[in-house]
Amino acid sequence: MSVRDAILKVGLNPEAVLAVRDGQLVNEDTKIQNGDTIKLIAVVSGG
Amino acid sequence: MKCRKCSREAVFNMRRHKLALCAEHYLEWFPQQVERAIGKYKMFTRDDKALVAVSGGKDSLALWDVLLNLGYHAEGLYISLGIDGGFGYSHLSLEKIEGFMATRPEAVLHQVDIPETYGESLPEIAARKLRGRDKPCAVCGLIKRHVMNRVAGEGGFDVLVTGHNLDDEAAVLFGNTLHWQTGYLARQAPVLEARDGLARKVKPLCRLYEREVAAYTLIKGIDYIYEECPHAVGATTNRYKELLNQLELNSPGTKLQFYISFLKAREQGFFRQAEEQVELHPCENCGQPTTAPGLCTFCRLWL
Repeated sequence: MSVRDAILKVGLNPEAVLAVRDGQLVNEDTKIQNGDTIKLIAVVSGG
Repeated sequence: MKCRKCSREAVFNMRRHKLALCAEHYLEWFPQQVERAIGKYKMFTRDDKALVAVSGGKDSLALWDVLLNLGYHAEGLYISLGIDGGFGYSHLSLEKIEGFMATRPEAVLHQVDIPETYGESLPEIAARKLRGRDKPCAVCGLIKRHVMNRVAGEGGFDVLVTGHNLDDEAAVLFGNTLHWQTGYLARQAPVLEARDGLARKVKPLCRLYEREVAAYTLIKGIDYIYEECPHAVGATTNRYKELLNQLELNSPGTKLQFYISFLKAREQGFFRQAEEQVELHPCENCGQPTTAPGLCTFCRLWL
């Protein structure tokens, strides 16, 4: 499964988050491997 | 997915540009976009003295970082509003700015502490005044505009620079269009020229997506305040951003197109009539411009 598919699967919008693996930004096509931890960072802020 | 410019793995993909870049090339691309906007809208030059409003958030720190790297004379301004929100929001914001400055010894920061200077924090004023009740954001905007203008004037700055990104601009535009606020539409622009004691204001990140700014800070290792201002949680602007991001998901480039098409329409004079300016008078107390005779709204806050 790609990072993008995973973001959509958990009900989030890929336009509103960044994905990080092992402290490094990864692109949305990156395939998630068994044991990977992907951290999602929300980018929307302000009022 | 490979970087468009080299064979390395891309770390970031911008669907609106069909452009994927590695970390190194993204750190080249991003400042070029900022520089391009500064030039395109004739915001300022390297001879100008710029005052950058910094909040400790991703946008203002990324902007300050880029301007310093590009060799602009950019000094920072931090306005402490005394917001706690249960986690020391204002204090934490300043810590992030200080953290950034520790890596940039050339950076100069001006600070205005509202509770210290005026005796009350933003939440205290908002609770006391009718105009701030249930909407401290309106009072916050009022205070920030006043202080930024004052510091810019007193410090002899040529231009006031804010970190509004394209998502901010598109969300404001969306709200103003939804309510047909023609007066606000007439004044929304990357550059607001100086007039009658009001400093010139510019927004160099206005063509960059919020996600692109966040990617820059992440790749660059700039530590910013991730927590939302406790008063902005659930703000209407954020709901508009969510809606626009839903459109963007299905049609990459929608947000940019919305904003750029508006700017073109504005240039063509669609909002000219609404732009007719009201006369400004100096406030009897602080001397800053105000629409009504007597005291300005900022000075009336402290009565």
